[in-house]
Amino acid sequence: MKRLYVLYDPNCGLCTRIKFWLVRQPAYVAIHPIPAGSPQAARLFPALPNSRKSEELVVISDNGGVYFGDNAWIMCLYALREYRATAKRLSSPMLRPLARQAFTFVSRYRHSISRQLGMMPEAQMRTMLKDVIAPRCVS
Amino acid sequence: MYIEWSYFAYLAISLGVTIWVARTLHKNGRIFLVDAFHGNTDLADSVNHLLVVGFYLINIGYVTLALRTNAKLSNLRESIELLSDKVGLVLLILGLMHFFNLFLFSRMRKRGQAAFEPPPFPPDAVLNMPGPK
Repeated sequence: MKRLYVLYDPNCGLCTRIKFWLVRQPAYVAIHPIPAGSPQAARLFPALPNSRKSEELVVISDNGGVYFGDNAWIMCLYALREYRATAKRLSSPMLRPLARQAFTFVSRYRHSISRQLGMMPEAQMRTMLKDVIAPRCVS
Repeated sequence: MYIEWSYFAYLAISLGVTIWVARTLHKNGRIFLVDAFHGNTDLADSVNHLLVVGFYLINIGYVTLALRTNAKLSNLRESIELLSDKVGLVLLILGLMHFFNLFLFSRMRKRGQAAFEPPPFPPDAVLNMPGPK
């Protein structure tokens, strides 16, 4: 496993923030974030089963393994140098249910959490930056 | 005269044990480090040496700082008791340092092994991946 494609929700501020954090971390497995539902995602993974809720976090490894929801989140931690031990701990039988509940909670309320914390989603960031007129460089 | 002999005995015992523990660490810790650094013996030897230098500095520093005493020694019994007090403390500190070093060795080894660890669970589904490589 060399790469991990992370299909995140670009309309969620928290997800956007976490994506920026994820790609900054030193990693064993390179993380490639792709906005879920984007043309790029459709092009790369045409065969991705749509039966699962499209709302869910999806992680796909370069050898074709697909992980959903809390498993996907644990796989993101597994990819990171500093958090591989945490991923192992979270996937132990004792902590797994707790991790699942915590993930489901955050995932369900991610939009309100983002609003509360004032985290701007990527899509909104993009439209906002489009209206900004950058000052020209004076040579 | 008792006090000087106590000092000499204290220094001899403390330094002797420090050297013995450091050499043990140096000799037996190497294999851990070689494993932690995936067989890179040069790096392992270098880290091993640096750890031992730190170990010597801390322990000899403590031994010399703890040498001083205000006790008035008038007979052999008192000097033996003082010596045993001081050496006991040095041994305890050495023991703590030794376990701390073992902890460092095992943590480095764990870190090194983490790179080869398989994913914690199998995937939920498998895709054919002709496209992205």
